[in-house]
Amino acid sequence: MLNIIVCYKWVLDEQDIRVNAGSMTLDTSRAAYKISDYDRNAIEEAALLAERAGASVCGLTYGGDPVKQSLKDTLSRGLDSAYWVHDPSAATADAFVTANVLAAAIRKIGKYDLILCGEGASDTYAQQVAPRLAALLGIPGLTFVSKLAVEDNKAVATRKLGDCTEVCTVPFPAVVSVLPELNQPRIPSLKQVLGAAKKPMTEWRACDLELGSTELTPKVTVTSLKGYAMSRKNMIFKEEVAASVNKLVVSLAKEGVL
Amino acid sequence: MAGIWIYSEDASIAAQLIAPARELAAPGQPVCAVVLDQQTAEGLLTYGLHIIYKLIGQSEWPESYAAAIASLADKEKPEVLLVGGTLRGKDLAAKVAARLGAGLVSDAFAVRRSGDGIETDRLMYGGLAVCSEVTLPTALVTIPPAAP
Repeated sequence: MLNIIVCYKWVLDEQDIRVNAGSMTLDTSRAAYKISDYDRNAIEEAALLAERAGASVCGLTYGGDPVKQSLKDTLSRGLDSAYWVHDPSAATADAFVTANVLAAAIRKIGKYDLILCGEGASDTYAQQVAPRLAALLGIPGLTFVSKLAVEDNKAVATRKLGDCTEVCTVPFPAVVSVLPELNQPRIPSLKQVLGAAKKPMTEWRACDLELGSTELTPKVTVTSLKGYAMSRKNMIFKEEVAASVNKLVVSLAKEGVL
Repeated sequence: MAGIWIYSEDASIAAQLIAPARELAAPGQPVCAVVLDQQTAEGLLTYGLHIIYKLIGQSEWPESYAAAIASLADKEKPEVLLVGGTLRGKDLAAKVAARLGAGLVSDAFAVRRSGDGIETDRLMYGGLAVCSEVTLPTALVTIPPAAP
């Protein structure tokens, strides 16, 4: 039977984040957490593959205390079990650290044919974890997948790459990152929500994964995080075209952009 | 001296990376390019780069050169690698970064020097916030291509 591991991130809902006017600091006090949007597509795809072809599906996440509430949420969406690497290092983790932790956890889980990830996280949208995991585990990684089918010992994936699509066949084990058009994530039924509480959950610390301090020290450190305000001059030139263009050029030159 | 490197599988996007690479380069610091085909190599010849590394292989799939670029970088130790932020470029950059154990900043709209490393600006939370980050060498950065 196919063994699938779905990686997901528990993120702040960006719609609830406010920017404090003046200081431009972020107010996250009223922000609720959610499963990162595209990770929901990854979870749904795993659940669909399990229903169609039969598969054992486990969820894997890395994060601090708030992640606890994510476990029942993801388990109600069709996962059989969940693994949580509960570690304070997650607060400052970059993609280097996150991929190291997830790769170590995947090795510890041991049995895997297909590792599914969302294409990018709703908060950072760095799109790095899936290809990094593939490189760390030494297995093929297919990113930006809009269509996925499983046959015997391989996956057939359609990648959407802006100016073209690409149909790839990849032997297992493999990492696949998915795009939102892949499927429509389900809304769990009451039975599924109640059933989630009975499913197995495993909690690990980073030290359980035999990771050293080098692997847990981020390479990228945040120096500032501030609200982004698009400041517009709101200047409209209403004369006839030649005169307006002249004024526009003069104005742009004055701003130093020409 | 460790150089500032650029890479894109797309010739015109590779050329776009030269200006930010030169801006980052300290006086006398080499600016080098990694390319996968003759056309891109020739396109970059006129810019007076220090070295153009052309990787020759059987695969027509740019992402499959991640391991080769990582081993070249591991040998030559560039300070910074700027990668054209196409989807293929982002995939490759993450695979190279993982192999090097290096930091990677995705979709930076500004790159500058800061102390021993580089500082980048990028958007977060779907454009709600700007995140400034410092990355120590070897630092990888993907830069969104300019609109055609």
